[in-house]
Amino acid sequence: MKRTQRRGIALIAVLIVSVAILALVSAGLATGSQNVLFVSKVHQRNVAIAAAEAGVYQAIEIVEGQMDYDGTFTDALSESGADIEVTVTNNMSVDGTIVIVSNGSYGSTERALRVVLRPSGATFGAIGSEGGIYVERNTYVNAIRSMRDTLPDYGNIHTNSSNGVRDLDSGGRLSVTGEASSTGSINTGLVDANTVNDNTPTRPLYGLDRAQMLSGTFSSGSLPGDGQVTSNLRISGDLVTATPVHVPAGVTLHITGDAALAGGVTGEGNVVVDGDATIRANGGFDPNNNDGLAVYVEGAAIVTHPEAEIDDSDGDIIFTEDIVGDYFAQMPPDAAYDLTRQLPVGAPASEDFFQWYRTESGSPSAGFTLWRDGDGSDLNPGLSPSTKAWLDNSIPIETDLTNWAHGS
Amino acid sequence: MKLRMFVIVMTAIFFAGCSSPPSNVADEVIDDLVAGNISPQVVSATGPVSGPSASTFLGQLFDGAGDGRLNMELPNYAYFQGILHSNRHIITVGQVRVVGGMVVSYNGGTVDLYRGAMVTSLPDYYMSRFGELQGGGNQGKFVVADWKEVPAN
Repeated sequence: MKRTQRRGIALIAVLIVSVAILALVSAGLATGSQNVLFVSKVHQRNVAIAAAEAGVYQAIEIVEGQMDYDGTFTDALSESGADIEVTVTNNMSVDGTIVIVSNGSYGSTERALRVVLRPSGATFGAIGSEGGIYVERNTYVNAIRSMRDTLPDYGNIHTNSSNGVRDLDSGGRLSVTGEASSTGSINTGLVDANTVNDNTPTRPLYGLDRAQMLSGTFSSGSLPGDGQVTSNLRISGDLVTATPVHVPAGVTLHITGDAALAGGVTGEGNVVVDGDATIRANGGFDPNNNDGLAVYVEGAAIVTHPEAEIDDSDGDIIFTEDIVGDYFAQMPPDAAYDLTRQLPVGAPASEDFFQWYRTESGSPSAGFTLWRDGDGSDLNPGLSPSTKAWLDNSIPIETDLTNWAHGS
Repeated sequence: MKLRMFVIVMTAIFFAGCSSPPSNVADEVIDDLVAGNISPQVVSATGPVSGPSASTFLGQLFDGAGDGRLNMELPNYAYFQGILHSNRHIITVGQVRVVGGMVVSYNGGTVDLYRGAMVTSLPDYYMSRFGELQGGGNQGKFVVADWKEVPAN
């Protein structure tokens, strides 16, 4: 091969290798720059998310101190300079929630979080007591989320007394859907709770502020004949009445002695009793009462069922629990969902349901077994254990339930 | 309607010594009665409550929305709606449903639930009058019900 030809081949080879190396380097540079861009984008996203989270926590701090807050605020993270814009929508009067939308932005990247808050059932429990809690026979503690959303929630009790929770007579039972806690001991044979915490530290309890409730101007007088209190009213001495008393929102009724409200008391206002109070509970439930009464009693408060009385021969309490009422008082939250799902063919969704359940339990059909116990599939999950147990408890009292259902 | 004086009965029991106090009364309540710190009055029974009919109740039970929301009206239950705070004792007698909450602020006091008594907590009733509440320490008033990322503005 001539020397010229060899040089040409070598040149071509060098060119090819150079091109290849150049391509590799270019690809590497391109990949590297993409990685740099990618890392930069990830960093911006992380900072933006962190800013949005910071905005949420700021908003939570604000509403914890000012529960009626509704508005927008802006801020910036001090180190990164990321911007925060938060909008708080207060829906407490609508559905009992507060909605926080927090936008964090850093560089060209924006991220947003939407957080929904609702009142803490742990903080605002069913019972908070500095003294002991005592029960006789079947008693119940539960909760609902709000008047606008009666989904079941965890009902909690707490006592700061070393006496804890005790039985007033043998056979007592307190069912608690949430937490039962005490600085003393809790007998789990007496208390059936979702969670039991005994020997806890003392817990500060929320309560009504009597002085704040009595702030404002009061007129002195007696209860209006129709029981409707329309403005702040102070009654000196005792108030004993069979007239239903109604105290609307923004109004306070102050009784400087004892109160015996045989006709009950309703409304969304305040009642302050400097002595003892005996209040008859009302027959009906008002679903439109969104704020409830606030009743502060300096002495003892006794709330009675219309059929309850005290035996004046020995002071013993006389009340016979209604079997049907007690049965439905024990209904687990799951049952409200289970029983509205598809019942088996032939099952009466009516006053004959409990009779049908008893009969089928004794001689179960395939459809009944599938509905009750399921087959492990999503299509036939069966009833929850708590619903099954509750339905089984209907069998011994089926006659009472059926008679009640038929209006007998 | 005649009113029956619980304090007369209890006072007669302790000072006349005619019989022992009922066994189902908490010692703290008895102590307060003897000391004269409480003088509750009791109204005699007037009859059954007018709650939902069986057909109405069962209709709601089986034909509800299927979303698990509770029927608040139970057969034979009577209702008190609100926050009840006593600086002594709260005694709930019979199938009474207190919707709201109960607070006893005296360490020698008691909460006494008798024979079907039910307490249903409802944070709304506390939150709606937060300016009239005291205590509570640093407990959080809210819990996070939902947390998710959404498209930015």
